[in-house]
Amino acid sequence: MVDINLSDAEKCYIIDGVKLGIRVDGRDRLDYRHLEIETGLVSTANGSARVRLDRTDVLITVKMEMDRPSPDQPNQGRLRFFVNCSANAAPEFEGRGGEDLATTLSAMMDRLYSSPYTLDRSCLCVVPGKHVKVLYVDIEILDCAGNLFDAVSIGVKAALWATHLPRIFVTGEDGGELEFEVSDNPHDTERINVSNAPILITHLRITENLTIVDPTPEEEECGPVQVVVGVTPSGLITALQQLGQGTFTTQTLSAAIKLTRELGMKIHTHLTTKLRQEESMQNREIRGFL
Amino acid sequence: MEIISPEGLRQDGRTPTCLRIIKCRLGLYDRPNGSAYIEMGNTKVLAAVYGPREVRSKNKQNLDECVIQCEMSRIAACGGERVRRARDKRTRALSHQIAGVFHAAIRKSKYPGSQIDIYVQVLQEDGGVMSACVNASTLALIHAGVELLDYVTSCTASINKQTAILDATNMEGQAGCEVTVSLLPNKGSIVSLDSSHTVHRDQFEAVMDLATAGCQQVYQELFSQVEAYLQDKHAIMSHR
Repeated sequence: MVDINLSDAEKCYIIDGVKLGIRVDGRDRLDYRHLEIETGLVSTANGSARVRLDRTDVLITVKMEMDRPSPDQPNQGRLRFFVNCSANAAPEFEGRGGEDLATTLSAMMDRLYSSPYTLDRSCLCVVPGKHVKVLYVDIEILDCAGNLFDAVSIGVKAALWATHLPRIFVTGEDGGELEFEVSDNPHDTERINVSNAPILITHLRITENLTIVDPTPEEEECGPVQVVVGVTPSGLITALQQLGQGTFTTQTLSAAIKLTRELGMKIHTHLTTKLRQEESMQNREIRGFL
Repeated sequence: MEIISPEGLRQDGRTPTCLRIIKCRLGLYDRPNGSAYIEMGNTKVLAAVYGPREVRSKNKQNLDECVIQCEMSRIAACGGERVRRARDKRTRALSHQIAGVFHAAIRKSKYPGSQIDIYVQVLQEDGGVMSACVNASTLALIHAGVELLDYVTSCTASINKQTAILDATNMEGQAGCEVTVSLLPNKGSIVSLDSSHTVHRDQFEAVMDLATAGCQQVYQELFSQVEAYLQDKHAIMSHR
């Protein structure tokens, strides 16, 4: 994704390390790097979260708008994902530079949440067939240092968890047009049930039959092919995509998917506890970027 | 709603000549040569500087001095309504303006044939966006170690009835005017002046003076932050 030039010897060092069961930064094959999450740092959004996975830095904001439902799902709200690669992250992203990456990412997020089991969209309906809430999930890539997919998906889940939607009441009708009232009380809000929201886990094939999770950009340079797996807290696989030029053997692939299920469920429990913990903090001071 | 209450206070409790709280941080990211983040009240901006480095398009190259480029973008949820495009005409115009400001402040002849890129990301806007962008860029350039003639500090002022007010929020700017002044504080020269909405000729001077005074206050703030950062990071400064 970002230009890093590694010599053959450096690549060999990384690959041989993985073969011996230790990575350059001392992690095990299935270890994640240090992850930081903070929610609610953009006060103009309905929900927001910032995730930092080592140096990877993503900011996710959720903003609600009212719209007409799609004709085939008249009483379901919608979720739309947009990715913007900021030129802060890499000068290559300037102008339209980051568009390829942005499209891949947003398409993956769309697919991840496409299954009706992942998120109950019927609670986003205001008037069936006429007005639904649309959640615009905007993902801002501020810095990328590998494993963007996982960081983004964890951030999206956290941002949706932290989303507070204003209550909307239908108060009457005027000449065929419905009239709405939005609750005055800023604390009178609706939450979204994210208990089934999935996350993505990336497996990078680094050598013949070995995969690693949470690759650094240097490791991404060594292994050309990765598989991104979406997994829900209950262990359901909701999306799967192989990226890059290269091949997996079926055994490696199925082993990776199996590992993902266990790892994913573990990460989900951790994430939920941490988010609960953050929410229960009294008078939490928002650190943001300071 | 009144902008200034009968007691002479504004909605957020400030007096007319009071700045919002400025918080900033230098050096957030590793990849850019310099980066900084600034909060001026609820306006929050992130800036990154790449360069001086090789010019990317050769036809822009200037062998006598460096090329300065600026790109500003906004996150979708930065204001009241969702912004559909991160970069539009308005941000492009502001980008040009910011680049222009730094044309005057960077010692361009020190970096012949190279390019300096300034990327500004607006995370939240509540009045004085241009000011916050200029201040953040100054900090990022300082963090990148680019030679500057002087700090560039920027501040806005507005007017409500007869009272000039400093560092206007979005609402105050909409109700009156928004005059943005960018200043080289040690030289005392103005590098950019920008005014939106109407302001009466008789009142303009008062607004300008207030904004200029605000720039000096911003300078004190930024200077102390940079000094604190340097004392924190570099032993060179701590022998004093």
